[in-house]
Amino acid sequence: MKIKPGIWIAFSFLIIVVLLVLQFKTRESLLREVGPTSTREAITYLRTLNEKKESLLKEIEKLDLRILELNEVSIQKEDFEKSLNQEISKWEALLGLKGITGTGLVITIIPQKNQILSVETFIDLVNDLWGGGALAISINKSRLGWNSFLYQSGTQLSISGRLIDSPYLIEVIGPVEVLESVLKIPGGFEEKMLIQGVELEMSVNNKLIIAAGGIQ
Amino acid sequence: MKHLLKSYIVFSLLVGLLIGITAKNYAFTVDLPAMGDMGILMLWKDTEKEVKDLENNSTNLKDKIQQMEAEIALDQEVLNLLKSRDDLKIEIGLGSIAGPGLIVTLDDSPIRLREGDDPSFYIIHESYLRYLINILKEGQARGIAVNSERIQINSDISCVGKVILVNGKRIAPPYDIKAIGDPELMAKVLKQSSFFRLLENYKTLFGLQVSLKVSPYLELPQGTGVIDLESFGVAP
Repeated sequence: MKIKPGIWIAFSFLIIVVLLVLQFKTRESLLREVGPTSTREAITYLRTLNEKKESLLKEIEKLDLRILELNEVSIQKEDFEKSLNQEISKWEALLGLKGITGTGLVITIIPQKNQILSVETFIDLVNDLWGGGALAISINKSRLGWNSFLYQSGTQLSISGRLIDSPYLIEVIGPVEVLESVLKIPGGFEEKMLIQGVELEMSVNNKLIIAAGGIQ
Repeated sequence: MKHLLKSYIVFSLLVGLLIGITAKNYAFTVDLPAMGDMGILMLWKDTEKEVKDLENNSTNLKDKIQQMEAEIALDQEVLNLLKSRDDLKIEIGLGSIAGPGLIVTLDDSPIRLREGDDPSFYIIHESYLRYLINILKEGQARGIAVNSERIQINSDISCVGKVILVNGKRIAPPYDIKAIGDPELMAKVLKQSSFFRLLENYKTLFGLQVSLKVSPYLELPQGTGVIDLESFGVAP
């Protein structure tokens, strides 16, 4: 039996339409799940996810090693105590109960005479620094702990009730390249400061020490 | 043959029209990735699932380690050390915590925008969460979480387009900021703050949804953010 060429064409179109509908439906359900966003934003989020994935993989590797260690029948009480004490010391340093050392960034913020920087500027800066992988932050040598809060006291900034004057010296320990890039992204902290006419200096310190403090 | 050509042209026009209308609808409603960017969205979804699985894996391993350590710690001295370590981790946000507290709920305005309205007044921005968390710390909160994401010492709150990220994870409105501590003190400090008063003004003017609720018992999960203990030293 000979099939008319018109039928073939109609059939091809039918397939195309079905494919198109399927494609749009898949896309629709995906977008419903991820929410409305642009390609650039999707890529940024994907990058954040990949960084988190990498750090989780590293953490899991270390946790697996720890399990192996604990499985060793020969584990000695002294060794266990020693490793626990070392771990405690590290957590204390992170919390601000002890000083912390490492590579870091020193940022000096110099506002113009009589210029007031809002407390929100500092809250956003601190947030950006944590996002950039900071492990410890201090402002004018006042260490920020978990429960530190920033407050606008008239024209002055206060950290958990302690007044801070300009110029502001921000010391931060963490991956300097990431920290720098976070501050320098278009529309980021550096740009905001430039727009406001605030002078900003940044330098890397390979042996930065941030003293204890910050816990209320 | 002429008939065939005509039907071919009609079909082509129909399909073209269909594609055109759909593409136009997509382009004008929201700023969406083009069809070619489907791959990014698929990858996004897959990676998100992978991260969630890894987080679960990590949590399970941590629980296993804790259990193994408890089995090894036969004497009081080691038990005390383990307790000190776990208390520190709770403060950092890596351990779960429970107690009385306060829930601050924020949501976008349900009001339909009219022409000329500035949409930024009608939505909850990520900075609102940051400023409220700062105020709750002033109110001596002992632990804070936004939806199911625990705020750790190194947590950051950012946004990608209209999506808010806490610890790099997407959270969706309504945003429940749960804080453990003295509910009355936290509520008092919040209500006295200029930022909370601004939010209440936005509630009246733009319909932003802001509410406070005291809870006699709240449970906050442990944080999922990774802290690499080997990347720094303890100062002598």
